[in-house]
Amino acid sequence: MSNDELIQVFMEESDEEIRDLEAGLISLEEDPDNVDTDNIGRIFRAAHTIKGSAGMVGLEDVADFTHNLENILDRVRNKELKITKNLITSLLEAVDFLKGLISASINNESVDKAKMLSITSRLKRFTYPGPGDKDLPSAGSGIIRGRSRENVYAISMKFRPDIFTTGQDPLMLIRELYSIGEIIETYPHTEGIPDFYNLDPTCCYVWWEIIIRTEQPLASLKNVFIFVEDDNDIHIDDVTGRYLDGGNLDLAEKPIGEILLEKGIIKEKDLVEALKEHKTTGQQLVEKGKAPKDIVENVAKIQTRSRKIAKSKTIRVDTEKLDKLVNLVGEMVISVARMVQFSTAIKDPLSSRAFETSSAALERVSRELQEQVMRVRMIPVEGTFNRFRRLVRDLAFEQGKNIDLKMSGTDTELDKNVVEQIGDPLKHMIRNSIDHGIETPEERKKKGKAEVGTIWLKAYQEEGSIFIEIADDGRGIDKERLLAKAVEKGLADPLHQYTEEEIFNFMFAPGLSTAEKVTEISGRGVGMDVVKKNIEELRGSIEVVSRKDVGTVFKIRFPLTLAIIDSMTVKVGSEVFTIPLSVIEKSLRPRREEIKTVEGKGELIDNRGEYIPLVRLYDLFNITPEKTDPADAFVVVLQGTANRFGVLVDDILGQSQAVIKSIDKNFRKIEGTSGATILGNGRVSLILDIHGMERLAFNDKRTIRISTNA
Amino acid sequence: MKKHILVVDDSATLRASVRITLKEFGFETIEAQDGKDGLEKLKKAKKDGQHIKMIISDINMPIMDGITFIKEVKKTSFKYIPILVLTTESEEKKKLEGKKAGAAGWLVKPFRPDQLLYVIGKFVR
Repeated sequence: MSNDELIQVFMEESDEEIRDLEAGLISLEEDPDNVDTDNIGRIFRAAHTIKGSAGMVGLEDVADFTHNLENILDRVRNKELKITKNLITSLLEAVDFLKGLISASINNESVDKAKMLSITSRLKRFTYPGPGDKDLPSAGSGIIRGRSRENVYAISMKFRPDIFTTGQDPLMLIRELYSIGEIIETYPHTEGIPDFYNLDPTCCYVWWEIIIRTEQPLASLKNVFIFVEDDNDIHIDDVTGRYLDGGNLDLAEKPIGEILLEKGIIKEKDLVEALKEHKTTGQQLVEKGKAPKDIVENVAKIQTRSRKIAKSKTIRVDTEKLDKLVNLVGEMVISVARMVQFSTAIKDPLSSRAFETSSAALERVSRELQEQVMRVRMIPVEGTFNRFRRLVRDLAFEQGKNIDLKMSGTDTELDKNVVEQIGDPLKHMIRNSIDHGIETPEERKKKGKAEVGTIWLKAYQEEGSIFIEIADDGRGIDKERLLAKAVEKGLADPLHQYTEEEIFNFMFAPGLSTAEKVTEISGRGVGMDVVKKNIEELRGSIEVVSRKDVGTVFKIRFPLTLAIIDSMTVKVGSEVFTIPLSVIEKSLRPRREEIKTVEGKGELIDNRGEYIPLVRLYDLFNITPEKTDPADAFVVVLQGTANRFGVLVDDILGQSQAVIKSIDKNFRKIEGTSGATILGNGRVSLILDIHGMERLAFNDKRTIRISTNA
Repeated sequence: MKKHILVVDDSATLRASVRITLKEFGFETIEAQDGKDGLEKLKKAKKDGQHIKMIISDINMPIMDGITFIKEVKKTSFKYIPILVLTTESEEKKKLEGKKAGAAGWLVKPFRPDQLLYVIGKFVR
């Protein structure tokens, strides 16, 4: 094989490998959170092959240059290096240069060495000190790899007085430290400086203590001192444990004099003297010239920061413990309420009043306790919200759209479970907004809208619920098209007049979004039925409002807490049911003539001209009631997501708080209920689930017998 | 003002490679073939008003070797100029000897341009 032939083979091979490299890197950038090990493996092998082959054909420049690429990719592959936009940009730049380098090397053209060096040194920053660079001046320490987390080191640097004659300058070392990490504390020790007449300006009298926070391995830190460590007093200690959250928590509680004493800036007798007077210790030490003013101020500043961090210091608690606590407190609140009821049993008016007063106080305290315990489980939505910045940016870029993501209420707190699980549904909705909502800049311009589309992500608390809104100013939902599709899928009755709300609600119907998935160009239409289901599983509800060419708003509502609900207890036959207060609109006792039966729709109550479907609870759960005539009984009107309906019950027993117990964990899922609670008298009561009841009563009409009693 | 660096080495190839590397980063190199030549070039530079920021010196050289050169420099007012000694893998002892004589640091040959720049960056801004 002639040399030319070898080069030809290499050219073809490297072309292919570079294409793999590029494609792989771009897909890495698109989804940096979801690292595909196969993909990274492919990218790494591509670089590796180019390097090896280049060496074979004698293209040393190419081999050397690719070696750097390979180093980085190796670290990415070993998860030692985080994938950042910066990293990918640098890698893509290097691949671009590599293309030119290969052809230049083959054709004996000159290579832009300066550019190669600058790219190489940029790459080196990611691997530094790379495992392949054993010929770098070695600090005599093993290279610690695979650390991407931050560590905090305390460095003490004492130099020989004649350090300057060795050509070394401590200032240069400190400058180099600045390039390695964030210097969070500095303590210059100036106490060794003699008075003016004894001062030799060529000597180094000052020594330093520096606290540095860095992601770089200890070896890079040691490399700073490589030329001075032998004949100077250099110590590096890992103090990460003391600097949780980036500040020295030890300092928060200590008097400033003590800190100065510990750091060796003052002597004990200076401190004792200072303490005798009634000024702040720091002030006096400065006034007396015992400690330099700037150092004392610096220490005070660091202390203030440590105090701030210490204040918001957090502890980790197993959520299981918290859940137990929440449950127990809930039980307590109910027991207290039960006890209060006994006050009527006390006959003596004097003791009765005393009992009432003290039990009221107990009730108040227990409610407050309950609220605080609930709060422990709540975390801000911020983290979940922030994840979407990248998603919006990337998707917008991909689709050539200009989109501004605006957030508000990121400090709104929600139960931890909800915050953790709301991410997926929100992501789907935001994706839908970008894919189908926001128009391209040209389209928007034509419509007279701002070229930049906006997506709002809001969280706020209102009326005892937490709301999350996803809004966009895109093209909105086409009502006619949606309805037509619903009719086509057999979900809607073509003859029926649907309200706007009802039409929009078809969006969440299972069959519909599947159909959309197939027809939508993006192929990413996510089933809104899944979104709705996810939200309902978290005891939330979702509604949508949209106007053509104005935009769409999805509004998600969550109860403040998940474990305890305010509820109303109702009686049907011998059963007692608990209904969450949040879904109850009103209760009424209809007059006999207000009850109408409509063919195909079952019973309706004419409530001042408004027709409310009637659902007989005893029918739904197949129990024997005491009353079957609505005119004798009560109708509780509930507001579901799509339907407003009345449930017929024998009697309303009263309001209470209910601690929700799961029944599907202990028994099995009962359709139409969301759990059970224990009543004041110790009996178990099923909690009605509005969504489940809606499903039972409306979506599946065949299983519901509509009573003909009028 | 130009940043001058004195390169003392008997190998023309090495001097050239240092010159080419550093030129791109705004350094002007002054070349000397051995220690004696180096001392003379230092004096000449001072006379010409050039400010030498750093000295890079080989160890094994004819006429005056690197260690002697460093010791001589340390006797003059040039003693504050950082000196980098170039050694080879087999000259571990020389590294310490140079250090003892007053060198600021060392670099093992053969080195890559980025390694040279890294070490120079420790001393010259």
